[in-house]
Amino acid sequence: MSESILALTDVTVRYGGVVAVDEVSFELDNGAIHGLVGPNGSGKSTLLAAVSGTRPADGGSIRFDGHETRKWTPWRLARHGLARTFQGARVVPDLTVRENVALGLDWNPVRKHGGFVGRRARTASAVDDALETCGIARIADSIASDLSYGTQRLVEIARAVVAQPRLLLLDEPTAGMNELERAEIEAVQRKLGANGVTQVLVEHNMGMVVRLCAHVFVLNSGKLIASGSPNEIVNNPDVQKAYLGKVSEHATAAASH
Amino acid sequence: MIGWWNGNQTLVHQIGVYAIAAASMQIAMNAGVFSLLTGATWIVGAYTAAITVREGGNELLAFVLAIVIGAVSSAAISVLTRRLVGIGLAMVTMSLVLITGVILESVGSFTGGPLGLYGIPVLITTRDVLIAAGIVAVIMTVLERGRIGRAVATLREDPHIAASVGIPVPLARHIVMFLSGALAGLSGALYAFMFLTLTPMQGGFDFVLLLLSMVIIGGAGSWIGAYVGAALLIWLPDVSTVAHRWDGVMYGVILIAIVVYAPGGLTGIVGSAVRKAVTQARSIFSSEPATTPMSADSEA
Repeated sequence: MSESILALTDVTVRYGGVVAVDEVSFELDNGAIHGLVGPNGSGKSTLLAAVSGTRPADGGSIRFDGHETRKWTPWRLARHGLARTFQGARVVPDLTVRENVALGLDWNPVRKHGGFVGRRARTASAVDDALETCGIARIADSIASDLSYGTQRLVEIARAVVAQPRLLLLDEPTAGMNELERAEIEAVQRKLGANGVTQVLVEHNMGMVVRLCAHVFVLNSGKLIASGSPNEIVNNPDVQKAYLGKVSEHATAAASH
Repeated sequence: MIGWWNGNQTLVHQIGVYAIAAASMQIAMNAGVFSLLTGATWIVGAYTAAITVREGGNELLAFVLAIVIGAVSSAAISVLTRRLVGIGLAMVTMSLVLITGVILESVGSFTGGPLGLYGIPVLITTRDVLIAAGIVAVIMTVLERGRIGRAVATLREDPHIAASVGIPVPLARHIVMFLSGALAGLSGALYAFMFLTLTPMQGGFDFVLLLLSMVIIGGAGSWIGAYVGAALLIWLPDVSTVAHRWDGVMYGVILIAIVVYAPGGLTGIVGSAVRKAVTQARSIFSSEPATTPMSADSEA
């Protein structure tokens, strides 16, 4: 069996005296969609930042595509095939949708085959593919800042996938969206999954996580408290306690009376 | 026309010199680097060119040295100040501009001390300045297009996006500052060989403020803005004697009007008008109805 695209061992991130991520270890299944869930402040985004290089981990080991990448810069990781989206739609406002998506390819050597000649045409066709995948081909020439929030998220995802990344990290891609927009993002993720892109999805909506993910990791107070299939996770008492907190304690207290 | 040309060569020369200096500042601002270092690299470039000729070098060597020293010192400062952004970077680079003036004043006979350098030979014509400004315009046009242009816009708007698509953000900023320094050095040399005297504080606060006004009034989004701003602020005081007496007030009023009503500068106004026209033309001529939220905007 081939090596996992991403393997974490005892990854620790500290902010001053606060341990935001506490010795987290897990491996991803290549080509699968993974959920990373947990209450607010449980360390999900910090873990994503450590993996993508924006906030290097203070300890442990991060192996991405066979390399020890704990101390790599974000751009080095990006050029090696790690793509990500951010919390809140982050697009370059003055550029068109097409230009925003092309950005994902411009400085990424992963897709650079062939020489200088014809690069423009290759970029254009790869951008068209990504726009098609994300269902935004019709607005390719619109200025990004004129688009709705939901559409900007799709542009962001298209930018992330245009270079055919080995690993895609999505940080709450449907936060603040309506059901229709959420369904669009889900459809895009399924398509990418079918193409074999390994994904990590940070998401609060458990319904979406259960529908999409093959495997779920649960963080609480920086620690990995559970890992398994969506059904196992939903029925895990530790997870219920972390999510429902006092309610479940009340329930226990009520049951013992 | 020829009569005007003969009478206004100095004006044209001055506009060319300031246009390139303003472009030096604009290229940094457009990439989101709020550096005022151009004042320092410009005066260093001017002194380098003048001293090279004084010491027996020819004019070509003078230009090469001015450009190279401007570029390298600018990139070196960029490396040293790599942790600074925004107003912090502006203040540190402004301090460096003032320190540069003090150093030029104190070095002694090599830089001419407080009196500066005078009797610099006239080695170029106005035509040479126009050729230089033209070459700079062509290079800047190429840099503003395609993937380099997209990268610059991304550096300005969101360095996190830039990093996430594989752009080495610190290196990209150093390259921008290298180019900015090269332009400042070129502009300084062009100035030295036409205006014959240099004083240590010439690249100081007033100069930096003037360039900044040019970039803001013309628009920081493109080199065209720098050129337009330079032409306007050099030419306006010249055409009106009233303006000459009140030029400080006039700059202030124009600056406030631009910042409040057209943050993209004069070129920004033209640019958005063109964009709107293109969008409307597209929605008229395209067979499919436009689905962008833009259409709601333009109807309003």
